[in-house]
Amino acid sequence: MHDFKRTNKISGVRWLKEPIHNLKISIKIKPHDGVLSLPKFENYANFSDTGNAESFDQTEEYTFKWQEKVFSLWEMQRYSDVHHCITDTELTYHNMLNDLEYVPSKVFTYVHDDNYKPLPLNHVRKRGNKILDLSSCFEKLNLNEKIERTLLKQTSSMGHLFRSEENLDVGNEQWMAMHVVFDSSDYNEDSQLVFKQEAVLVSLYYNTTNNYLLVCPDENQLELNPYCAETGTGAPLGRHYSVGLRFQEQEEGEELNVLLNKLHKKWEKKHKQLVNFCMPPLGKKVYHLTLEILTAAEFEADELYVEYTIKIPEEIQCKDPLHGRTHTSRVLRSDEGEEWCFGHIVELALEMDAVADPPSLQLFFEAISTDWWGRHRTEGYSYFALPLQPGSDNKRLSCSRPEELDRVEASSRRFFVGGCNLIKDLDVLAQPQLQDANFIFTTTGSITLRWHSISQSPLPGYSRPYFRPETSGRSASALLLGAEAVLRQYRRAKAKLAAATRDFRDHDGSGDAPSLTDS
Amino acid sequence: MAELHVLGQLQGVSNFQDSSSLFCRYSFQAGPNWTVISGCPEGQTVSGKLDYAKSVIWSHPLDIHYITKGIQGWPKLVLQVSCLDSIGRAWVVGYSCCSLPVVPGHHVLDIPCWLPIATTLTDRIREYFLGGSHQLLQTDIINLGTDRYKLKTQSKGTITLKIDLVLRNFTQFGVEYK
Repeated sequence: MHDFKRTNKISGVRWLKEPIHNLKISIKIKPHDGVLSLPKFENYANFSDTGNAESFDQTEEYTFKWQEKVFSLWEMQRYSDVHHCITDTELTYHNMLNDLEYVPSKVFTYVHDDNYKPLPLNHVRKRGNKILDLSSCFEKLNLNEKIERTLLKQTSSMGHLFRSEENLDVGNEQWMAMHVVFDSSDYNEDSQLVFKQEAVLVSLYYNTTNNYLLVCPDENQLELNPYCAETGTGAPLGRHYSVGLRFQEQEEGEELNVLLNKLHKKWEKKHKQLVNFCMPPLGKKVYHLTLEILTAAEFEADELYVEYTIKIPEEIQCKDPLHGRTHTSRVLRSDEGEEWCFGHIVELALEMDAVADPPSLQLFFEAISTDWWGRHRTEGYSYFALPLQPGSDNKRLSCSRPEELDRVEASSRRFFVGGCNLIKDLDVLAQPQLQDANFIFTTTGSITLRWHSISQSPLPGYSRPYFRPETSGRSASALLLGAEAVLRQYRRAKAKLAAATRDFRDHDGSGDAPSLTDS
Repeated sequence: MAELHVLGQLQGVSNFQDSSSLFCRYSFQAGPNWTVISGCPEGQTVSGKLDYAKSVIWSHPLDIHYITKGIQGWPKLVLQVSCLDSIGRAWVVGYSCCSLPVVPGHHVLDIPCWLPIATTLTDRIREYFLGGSHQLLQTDIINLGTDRYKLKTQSKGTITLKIDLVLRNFTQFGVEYK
């Protein structure tokens, strides 16, 4: 039975989802339920029934925060006297006891700075003494050089095979320890320590690098599976206890809310700058026109290109080039006929007054063929008045070219000499009735167009947001940051000065100085 | 911020005279105001052999979601058709580009393809016997009209694109598209 109780202490590993500082360790401890611990009838004869039940329940509960130092009676006696305090930690405890009134507790704590027990890695190192034997083996086998070479190669995956605990460059800093201890020491009537005896109830090791917690022994329930408090040598102290771990509710919830609100405001500000939609200037309307010259068909020549000219009305402003030509394309002959592929995209950004109705754009196309000798011939002209209406559409434009009255002469000149730009003023295509029409037109082929038009007008009440120049904002924030940095430095220096002069002040006040003069 | 959702498929190619299998690389290009928030703006279709009608069906799905803070730089689709011959060699057989429509809804677009042709007789003979083609070093020329006039090209087939467009929040910023 005794052995069974000893083995019910099992270590646990906790992957922490919350900060370790929120951890609360609760210890419930009660005397061992034995015959001797039962209340005596004489002591409780005069109490009522309920009173009996309450007084019989001797469970005590202690709650500790992570790295919270709670002093035992002997610790308080020891640290109260400055002469017993040598290390920085002990001096800190001395100051703590001077500053605040602490109540000694039967269940107290050893924090990380106490270095009460070795850290987990030290255990391993102590156990792994056989590594020395292994090292000696390597020495004997003359393998050290080879292994060192392998280990030095950080890129080699083989290097890790030879890594042992001796090679692990892991300092003690990655662990933080805390121990909750039951003080069962004997004290005399003056509360002076007679016999020191204590039992570790629970040890907690927090791995700071990987953020997990080793709990030894793990959580349990006092009613179902109580642990037995034992000294280091295994002697039972007649007490049962349980360990509970929980994370306290975030007290700084309000602060978090404030922080979140601030963050949200900052994000909104940034978001506004980012997502601010580009709007046209007030009173102006913007059109974005994408015109595609897709294909040409039914022409006679083999190689063809299209020259285009866009005439925009005076009330529209446009900075994009309005004249250009496609690449020269060789015909594609298929069962469906002959086709010249262009896929030429013309993009125009147009701006005009918002109140006016959008006029049409005048598009002039001239299909020009080239031959192997480099002669260019106009194959046809086409005109299209493109309405500036938002939307997508396509159009097949018929092309025609002017033909002279003397057909024979014109045909032979065209065949032997070539020649393009038969019409110098393209307006004749847009307004043929106003021109002298002393020639006839011959239909030659067609050009396929596709266009997409989108417009944007300023919203009523919308004004272009004013952006504060970034440089001034940056300089202001930089100034603030600088001031904060200076304040931080000042605080650090002040703390350092206080630490440096603390001993001096202590000497002055504690009366140690006269002892020097006495000697 | 306005949103544009492009759904659809690269249906296939027709009227191509090549005998090898054809596949297509595509890339959505948009102005600096536009940001892709989901979907892949680049991709490649499967390789398919030409059927008796000289066409290949890819039916490659497209799904891309843009957010934008301006209508400038409306997205375009740049396409590059390549062939894959029987011994695993691939070269470009067609370039093309189209601007995406601005009207929401279903659209079927025919996009013509072209390819720079060999200018010298030696290149033509090499292409005829060994395969390969002239390729563009600067692919910007596909979607930009400027400087295209220097090119001498061969007309290739037509790519069919079937897309559905969803526009959101554009009207909030005074944009008219219909």
